[in-house]
Amino acid sequence: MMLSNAPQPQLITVMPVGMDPRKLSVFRMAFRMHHSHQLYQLLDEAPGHAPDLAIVDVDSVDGWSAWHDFRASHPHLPALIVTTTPPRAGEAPAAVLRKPVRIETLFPQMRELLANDRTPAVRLSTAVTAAAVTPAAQSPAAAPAAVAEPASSVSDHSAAAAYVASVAATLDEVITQSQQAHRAATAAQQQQQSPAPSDLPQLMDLPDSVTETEHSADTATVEVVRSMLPENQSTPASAGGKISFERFDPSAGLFGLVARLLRQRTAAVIRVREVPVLVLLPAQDKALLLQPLETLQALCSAPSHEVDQQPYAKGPVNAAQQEIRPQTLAWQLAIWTCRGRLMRGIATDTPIRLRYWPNLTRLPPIPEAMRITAFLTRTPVNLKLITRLLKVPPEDLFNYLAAAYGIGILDLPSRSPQLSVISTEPVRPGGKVETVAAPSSPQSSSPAPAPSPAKPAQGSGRLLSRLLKKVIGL
Amino acid sequence: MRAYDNKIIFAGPVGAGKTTAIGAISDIAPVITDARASDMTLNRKDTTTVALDYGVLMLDESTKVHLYGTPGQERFDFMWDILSQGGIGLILLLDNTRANPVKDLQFFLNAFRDMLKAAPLVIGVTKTDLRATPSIETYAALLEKFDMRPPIFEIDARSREDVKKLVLALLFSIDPGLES
Repeated sequence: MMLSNAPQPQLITVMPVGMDPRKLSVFRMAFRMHHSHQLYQLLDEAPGHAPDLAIVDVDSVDGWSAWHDFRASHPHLPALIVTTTPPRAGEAPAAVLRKPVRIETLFPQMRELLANDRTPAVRLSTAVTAAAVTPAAQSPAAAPAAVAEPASSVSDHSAAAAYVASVAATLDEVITQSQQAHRAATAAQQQQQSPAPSDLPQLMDLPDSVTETEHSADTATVEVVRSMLPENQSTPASAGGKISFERFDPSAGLFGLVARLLRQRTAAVIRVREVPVLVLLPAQDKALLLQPLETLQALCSAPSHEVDQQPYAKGPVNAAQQEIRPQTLAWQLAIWTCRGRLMRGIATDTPIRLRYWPNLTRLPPIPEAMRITAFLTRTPVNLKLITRLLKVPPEDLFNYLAAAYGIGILDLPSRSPQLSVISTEPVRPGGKVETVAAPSSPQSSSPAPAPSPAKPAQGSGRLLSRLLKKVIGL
Repeated sequence: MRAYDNKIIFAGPVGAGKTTAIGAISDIAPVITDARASDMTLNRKDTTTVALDYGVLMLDESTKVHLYGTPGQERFDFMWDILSQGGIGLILLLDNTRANPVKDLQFFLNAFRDMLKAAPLVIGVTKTDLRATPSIETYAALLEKFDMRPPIFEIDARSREDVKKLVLALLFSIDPGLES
C-alpha cells in the first residue's frame, strides 16, 4: 500500500461583509470551484471556525460604514475591500480589489494577503487597484500560508473558472457564468464517471441561456459543453474532452434588424455604415437588394452600431439589384449570420416548436431542414431530444433554428408560456404522446427523458425507408 | 400500427397540376385518363382527368408505390374515398390562380377528412408565379388556427425537385427519424 505524501489542503475561512445573498453566491461558487492546496469557505459554512480573512464590499447601501463597523469589531483581521470605485492610491485602508471581481486575481490576492499581512504593504496584481494597506497584525486564527501557492498548481477547475471570470464584464455576469461553469464542470465530471450508453451524438449540459443584456450584442461568447461526439470518437486533447459552441445574438446586426422589421411589418431602408443596402417592404412582400449578395453576406458580421434604418420614401429604387421575398432574405441572412452557432435564449431544455412549416422549396437549403421541421411542428421539443432522436449535426440544427427565428415561425416559451415539452417520442401518428409542464425557468437543469426513437412496424417501416431512399435518389 | 397500401394520393382542384406532378416523379409514363373537357373545366384547360392518373415508384422488381391522381371535379368525388383508403398520405395541390384557393383548401380537407385522420397531409401550391396571393404564410397561418401544421410549399408541378420535396415531407411527417 502506498502512502500518500500529498499535503492536506489548508482550509481558509473567509468572512464576508456588506454582501447580499446574490453577491455571497458569487464567492461561494468561486470557492467551490477553486481546488488547490488552499481551500476556501465562507464563514457561514463553517460554524465554529474563526475567520482567516475578510472580504468587505463597500458598494452596498451601508457603504464605507460597513468597513468601519467591520474594522471596529475585527481590528486585526486581514481584509480585502471590493468596490467598483476604489479610493485613490494611498487613501484606502486595506487592499482593494476592483470590481468586476475576477477569479484569476481574487485568489492570488487572498493568498498574498494571508502571506504578507505582517508586512506594511501588499503587492497588488496589475488587475488590482494599488492601495495603502493597514498594517494589520496577524490574527492567531489567520495563520498565513508559508509559501504563496504557485499559479501552476491551480487545477483545471479553477482554470475553467478563471476563463469564465475573464469573459465576465460585471459582477452579475460572474454570478451567472460561475454557475454555468460549475454546471459544465460537474457535467463533464459526470460524463467521465459514467459515459453515456448511447453512441448517438448528444447535446447535453449546454449552459443555460443568457439574457441578451449580459453581453454586448456583437460579442460572441464561447460556451463549453459536454462532448456531443460519439464515445468512440476521440476529442482534441486541447479541448479536454469537450467541444465548444458559440452563441450569437439574433437581435444584433443586419440580421437582427431585418428580423425585427419583418415582425413589425415596417417598411424601411436599411443602411450599413450609412450606405443603403436593403429596402424592406413587408406589406408588398418584397425586399430589394441594393448590394450584391456577396456584399450582404459580408455585412452580416457588421456590428449593430453600424447598422441602422431610415423610413422608406415611396418611389422607385433605381439602384435595386435584385428583388426577393422578405422571408427568403431573412432566412438567408440568418444562415450567414448564425454560422453554426446557437441563438441566445435557447437552452438544452427549452421547449421549441415551429408554428408552421417554412416554404422549403423556395428557401435557401439547410441540411436536414425537412426532418427538423417535421419534428418541431409536431410538438414542443428540446435540443436534447432533437439531437438524440434525429442525429442532426448541431451546426445544421442551430442554423435552422436561427433561420426559423428570422422568418418568425419559431415558438419559444416567452411567446407561448404554456408551451410544454414532450417526454416521450412523438413522431408516430396515433401514438401516445405524453407531455410534461415546461420548465418554469430556462435555468432548469432537470434532464429531459431519453426516449428511444419509436420504430414503425417492420413491414411498413421498411417500405417507408425504401421509399425515402428511392425518392432521395430520383 | 397502420398498414400501408403502398399508394400516395394526389388530390386537388382541376388544373392544379396533379397529372403533371405524378409525371414528374413516376418511373413509368403516367397512365392518364384525360378526356376533352366539356364543362366549366374548359375555362381552365382543354382536357381533364375523368377517372384517375396513375404513376409508379419502383422500389424493386416486385415492390411498387402507386401514385394516384384523383379527378379534380366534384362529380367524381365518389372515387376519392375508394382511392384514399390505406394510402400512405395525401398530397393536396392547390392552384393559386383559382378564384378562391382557400375555399378549395377547405373543401378538400373536408372531402378527405377520413383519410386525414390516419394519414399525413402535404400541400403544394402551384402557379404562385402567376398569382402570389394567398401566400404560403397565409395558408399556414389559417391552418395553424385549426391546430394543423402540414407541410405547405410553393411548387412547380413540372419540377421533379419540387415534387420530390412534397413526397419527402410526407415521409418525414410520418416519421421525422426515418432513415433510408
